[in-house]
Amino acid sequence: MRDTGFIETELNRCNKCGYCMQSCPVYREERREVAAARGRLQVLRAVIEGDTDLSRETLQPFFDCLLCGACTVDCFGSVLIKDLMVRAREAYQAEYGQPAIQRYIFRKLLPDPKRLTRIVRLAALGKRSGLFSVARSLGLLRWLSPTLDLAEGLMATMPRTFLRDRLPRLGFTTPKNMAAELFRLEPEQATGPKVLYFIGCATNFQLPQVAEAAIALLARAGCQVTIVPNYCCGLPAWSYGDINAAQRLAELNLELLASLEFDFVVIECGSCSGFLKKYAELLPEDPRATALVECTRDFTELLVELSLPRPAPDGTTVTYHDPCYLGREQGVTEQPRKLLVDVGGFELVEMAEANWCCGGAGSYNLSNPQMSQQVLGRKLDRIADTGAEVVATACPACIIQIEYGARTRGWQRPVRHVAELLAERHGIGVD
Amino acid sequence: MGRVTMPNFSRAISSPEQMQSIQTLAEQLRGVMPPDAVLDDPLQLSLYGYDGTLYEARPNLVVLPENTEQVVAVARACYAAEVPLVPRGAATSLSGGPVPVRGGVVVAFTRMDRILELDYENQRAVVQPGVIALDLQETLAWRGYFYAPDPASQTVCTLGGNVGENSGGPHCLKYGVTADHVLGVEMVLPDGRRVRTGGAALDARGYDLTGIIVGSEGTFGLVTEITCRIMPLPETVVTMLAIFDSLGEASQAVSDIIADGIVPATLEMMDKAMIQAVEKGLRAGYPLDAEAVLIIELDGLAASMDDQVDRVMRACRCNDVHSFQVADNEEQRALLWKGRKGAFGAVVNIAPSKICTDISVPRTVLAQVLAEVMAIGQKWGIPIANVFHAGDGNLHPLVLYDPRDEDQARRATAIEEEITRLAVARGGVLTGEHGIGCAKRKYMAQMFRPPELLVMWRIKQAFDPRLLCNPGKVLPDRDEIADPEPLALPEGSFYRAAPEVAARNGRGCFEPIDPEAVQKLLAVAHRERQRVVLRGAGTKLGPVAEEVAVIDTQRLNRIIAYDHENLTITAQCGVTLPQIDEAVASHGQMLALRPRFAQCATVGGILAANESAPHSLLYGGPRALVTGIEAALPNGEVVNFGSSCVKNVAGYAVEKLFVGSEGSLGAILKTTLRTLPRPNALRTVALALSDPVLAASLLVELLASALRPAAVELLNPTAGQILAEADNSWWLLIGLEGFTGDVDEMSQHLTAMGANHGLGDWQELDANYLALWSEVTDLEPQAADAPILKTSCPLSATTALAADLDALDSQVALRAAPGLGLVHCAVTGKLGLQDYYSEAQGLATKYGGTTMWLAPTPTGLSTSAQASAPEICRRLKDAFDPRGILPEVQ
Repeated sequence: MRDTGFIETELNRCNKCGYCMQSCPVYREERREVAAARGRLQVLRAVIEGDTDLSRETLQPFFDCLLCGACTVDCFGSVLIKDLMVRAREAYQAEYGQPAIQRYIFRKLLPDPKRLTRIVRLAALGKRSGLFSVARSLGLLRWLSPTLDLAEGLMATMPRTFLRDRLPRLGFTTPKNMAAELFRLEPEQATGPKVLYFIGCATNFQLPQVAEAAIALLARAGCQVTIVPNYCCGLPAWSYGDINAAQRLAELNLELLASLEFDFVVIECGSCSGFLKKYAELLPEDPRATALVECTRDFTELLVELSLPRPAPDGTTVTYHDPCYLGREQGVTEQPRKLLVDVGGFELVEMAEANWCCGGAGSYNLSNPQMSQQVLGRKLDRIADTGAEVVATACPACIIQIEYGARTRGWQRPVRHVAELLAERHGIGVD
Repeated sequence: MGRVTMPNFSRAISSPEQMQSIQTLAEQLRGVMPPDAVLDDPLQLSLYGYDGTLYEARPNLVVLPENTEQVVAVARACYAAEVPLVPRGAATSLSGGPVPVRGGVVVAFTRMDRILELDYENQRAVVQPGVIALDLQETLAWRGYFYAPDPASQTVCTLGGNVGENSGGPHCLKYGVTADHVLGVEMVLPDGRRVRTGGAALDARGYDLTGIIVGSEGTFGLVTEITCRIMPLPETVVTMLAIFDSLGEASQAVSDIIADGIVPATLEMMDKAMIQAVEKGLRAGYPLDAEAVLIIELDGLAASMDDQVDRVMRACRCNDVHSFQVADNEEQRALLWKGRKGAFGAVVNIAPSKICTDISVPRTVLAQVLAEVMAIGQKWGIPIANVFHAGDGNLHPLVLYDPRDEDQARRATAIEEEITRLAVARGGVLTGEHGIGCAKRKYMAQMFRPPELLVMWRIKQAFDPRLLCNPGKVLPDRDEIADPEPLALPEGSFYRAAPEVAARNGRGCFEPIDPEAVQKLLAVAHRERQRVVLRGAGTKLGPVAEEVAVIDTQRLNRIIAYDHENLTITAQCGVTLPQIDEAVASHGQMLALRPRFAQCATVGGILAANESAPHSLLYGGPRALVTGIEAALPNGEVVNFGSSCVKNVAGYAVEKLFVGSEGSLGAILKTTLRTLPRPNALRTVALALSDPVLAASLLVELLASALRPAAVELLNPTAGQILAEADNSWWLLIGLEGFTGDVDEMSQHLTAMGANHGLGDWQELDANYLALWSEVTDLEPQAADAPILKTSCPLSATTALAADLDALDSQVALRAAPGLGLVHCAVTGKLGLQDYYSEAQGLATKYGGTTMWLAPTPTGLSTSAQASAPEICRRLKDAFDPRGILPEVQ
C-alpha cells in the first residue's frame, strides 16, 4: 500500500469515541459497526497490521461508504475518513487490479474529451434513448450496477443534444486569434468579472439546461463567460481510488487553463467545484494548482456577490438540499439560500438534516443501489415534511437522485438547480 | 494505536471443545435470528470488541436482535451452553463496559431502536434499548417535552447504554441522573425469563429493582424495554459564560451562586489547558490567557430569570470575573456551548491520545482536589487538562499522552490510579458517571471493603446465578475478595447475650446507644436465629408478635455532618426531621422530605418506608434524596453504599435497595441526604369544585405546562374538612414554592387557566403552608389512626379514580395526586376494611392501577399487590438475610 504513513497517522488519531456514528447515513440505516466510520477504520487497521486477509469481502466496507464526509465533521480529531476510504480503494486496486472498464474510462476516455463525446454521441444517435443505452452499450452498467431497472430510472431524463453542441445557439462565438475550441459570450454591459466556465460531465451529457441557466445569469450580471474543452475534474477517478488518473486529469486541466486570462473559474456543479478546490492537495508540488484553487468559485458563491434585480416574493415555497461537496467540503451553505430568497423571491422552508447525503454520491446509486435507495428514502421523508412546492439543490448528481425519488413517490414538486429556478424567475429564456 | 489486551483473556473461551460448542451455538442462533444478524467472521467480531477506551477483546459471536423474543432465544441458548452474554449499545463507553473480556456472545442492541410509546399525558415514554438518546430528545422536543439525562455522547449513545451506566450529563445538577428518570424496565434474565420492574408509581411495592438495575452495567441481564419519565420543557433557558483569571475565583463563584439559593441547570468549568486545546481546534472565542471558563445555565420560569441572572453575575463580579456574557438567542447559546461540547475531542489538538478519568468528590473539596490532580500530573511529567461539572463535583481530568510511547503510557496509567485514590481519600468516588467496567474494577477495593463487595456479589448472583452476564466487569473476582473478620460477640442465647449489648427500655425494646450495638444485636440474633424487627418512632410499625425482639433505633439520633456547600447532610437513623430542619436552617436550606408523621418519624423509618408525599411531585420521593446509606446487615457486618457525592456510579446502587426495604434487609444506621436551598415564597392556592371531574382538563393543561407546582392534591369533601374554608365541595389544592416572582407567575397562570376552563376563583389560603400540607399529607384529623389505602394509577386516570372511590363511600377522607398518579384513602366508615379494599382494588384495576395498604397494614389484612419480579426479590432477601431473622416486606 503506498504512503501508509498518511494512513497510519490518520488512523492513530481515531480514539474510537464513536461520535462518527451520529450522522453517517449508511450506519443509520444499517446499525452495524462495520457501516460506521469507526468500524471501517478498524477494518483498515486490521488490513494494515496484517490481522486480516485482503479478501474482496473484507474490503467491501470501504466501497459501502458514500464519501459524504459527515463523519469527519462530527469527529473531534477531524480524521480525514473520506480520504482514508479512497486510499483503501486504491490499495484494493493494487491488490486485485483495476477493472478494465474503469481503467478505460478513467485513463483513456476522460483524458480525451473528443473521444468521450464521440463515443457517447455515436451511441446516443444509434440508440436514441439517452445515456442509459450508451452506458449499456459500453458495458458501463455491468460495472456500475447490478440493478438495470434502477439505472434506467435514474437515467430517464436525457437531453437530445449535449451542452457543447448548443453553445453557438446560446450566443457564444469564437473570438479572432483564438483557438477554434474556445467559445466566448460577451455580456451587454461588461460590469462583472471574467469567468472561465468549467463544464462538468454530468451537466454536459445529462443536464445541459442547468449550465445554460447558470451561464445566462452570469451574462445578465455582466460577466464575460469563456468556455474551453476542459477535462473531467477527476472526482470520479479519485472516488474509485484511481488517484493517479485523477492527478493526470488535474494536470491536463491546469495545462489547458494556464494560458488563459480570467478572474474566476466557475462551475454550477457542487461536486466539481469542490474537487477543483482539492487540486492543491492532489498536486501539492504544482503552484498552478494553488493558483487555481484560489480563483475557483462555485456558481452560487460567485453569483451572490454580483448584482441582479430582486423580484417581489410570490410566496412559492422552496426547500434546499445541501450537496455534500458544496456544503461540507466548501462551506457554501448560506449563498444558495440567499440567492433563492433574494434573487429568486422564494419563501425558503428549511428541511431537517438539509446536509444529509441524498445517497446519489456520484455513481453510488448505481454501485450500491439498495443502500442508496434507503438513504434517499430518509431524504425524501425530510423533504416531504417541509411541504415545500419546489426542491432546490446545486449539484447535478443530487438532482438526478432526488428527481428519481420524486418520480417514484409520484410527487408533482420539481427538483431543480438553484440556477434554473433563478433564470426562470428572471425570464431568462432557455429553450 | 494503543491497545490494552485484557489480562484475564486467558479465561475466555478458547479450548477446542468450547470452540465447537460456539459453532453449535452459532448454528442454533441462525435458526432464530434474521439472516444477517449472527456474525462469526473474525473481522466482524473484532468490530464488537472495543468501546471508547483502549481495552479490546474479541467476542465469539455477535448477534443483532430486532425484538425481545430474539433476545430471549439468545439468552436461553447461551444459558444452556454456559456461554457469557455481553450487552452492547453504541459502545461509546469510557470504562470498557461492552468489551467482552471473557469472550462470549455480544448482544448488540442497535437494531432495537424503536420508540414504542409516547404518552405525554402520563409523562412517560417507552423505548427499546437501541434508541439513540438524541432521537428521543428530538422527538419529544416537537411536543415541548424533554428527557432530562443528557450525556455528552447523546448524539450517538443508546438509552440502553445509559441505563446500563446510569449516565449523567451537564444537566444532572438540577435534574438528576438516569436512575432518577427511569420508571421501569423489562429485562431478559440470563436464563431467558422476562421480568418487568417498576411502573407508573414512584413508590411501587417491593424492592427497588429498577433502581439497582440502572447502573448495573449489563451484569444482571439484558434490558429490552425502558419506561422513562419525560417532562415539559422549561419556559426559559439562559446561558452565561464567565471567564476567570484563576480557578480559585471560578470555584468560589460557583460556591457563591449555590449559597445564594440558586440551583442552575448546569455549571460547567474548563481549565487553562482545556481552553487552549479548545481554541486550537474549535475557536470558541475563549481568551487564551484565561485560567478558567465557567458555563452557567439557568432554566425555569421567566418571572425570576432576570433577577437570577443578576445574582449570578454579581457572584461572578464579586470573584473578579474577567468577562461575563449572556447569550441572547439560540445561536449565541450554541456558540457558548460549542467549546464545552467539543472539549473532550479537542485534546487531539494537543496530544495524540488521552485517558479520560472520571471522579466525583464533594463539591466543597473540588478546588483542593483539582490542585492535587495537577500536582500528580506534574510529578509524573504528563500534562493534564480539566473539564468538569463544577456544580456536582464530578471531574474529568484528561491525562494527555502518546500511547505509542511505552514510558508515557505507563506514567499515564499511574496517574489515573493516583487520581482515583485521591478521590476516595477526599471522600469522593471512583467514578461519577462513566462506570467501573473493566477499567476501574481493579480500584474497587479502594472504595469498598470485603463485606460490601460480597453484598454486591450476592446481588449479582440473585439475578445471574451462573455468572454469565457481562463477566469480568464491575466487581473483582469472588476469589480476590478476602473474607470479613468475625465480630467478637457475647456468648449464649439471644436473650442472654443481647442485654450485654443494649439495655431494654420501658416498652421492652432493645435500645442500642451506638451503631456498634445495633451491629452486635443483629449478629447475635443471626447466630441464634432470633427473629427481630427494627423500630424507629414506631409510626409505621404494627403490633409485633411476642417471640420477635424489637430493636429501637431512636437513640441513634446524632447529626454526623452537614456540608452546606455540598448540599448534603449525614444523619443517624434515629434523627427526626425537625432536628434536620433546625440544623440546615442556619444556611437557608431545607430537606425536601415531607412524609406522613413528619414531626416524629425518624429518618431511618422514612427511608425504609419510602412513601411519596404531595411534594414528591417537585422534589421526588425519599429515594431521590438519598445519596448514601450505612447499614448493618443481619449478620452484623456494617456496609456503606453511596457517598455524599451527588453523582456516583461506582458499583451497584445498593443504597437504593435499602430505600423502601421496610427493614427487611438490614438496619439503616445512617444516611446522607441531599439538601436544597429553601424557597423564598410558599403559597397554597385552592379551588372549590362541585365535581372533581371538572378539574380534569385544567389538570392536564397544568401538568403539561412549564409551571412546576410543588404539590397538587385533590381533596374530597370529607378530607376537605381540614380547611378553614371548608364547605361541601371538593378542593383542588396547589402548593407553589420558589422565587417570589415565579410563585406570582404561577398564581397568575392558574387564575387564567381556571377562567379558561370555566371554573371558579382561586383562593389563596392563609394557613401556615407547611402545617397545612402536613395535615393534608396525614389526612388529619379525620384519619387519626385510620388505615391508609393507597391506589396508584396512570396520571391521567387519577381524577376519575378519585371520583369513583368517593362514590364508594363518601365518608372516607381521600386525597388524589394527579401529578403522581396516587390516591390515598383514610378508610373508616360503613364498609369494612376488607370490603373497601376489594372494591377499591376493582376500581384501580379498571384504570390500570394497583392497591396497597400503607404501613402498618391493618391487622388480619394483607395486601395482594404483587411486587414486580417476586422471585428476584425473594433471592435478594435470602442473599441479605439467609436466616430470615428480619421481617419480610409486607
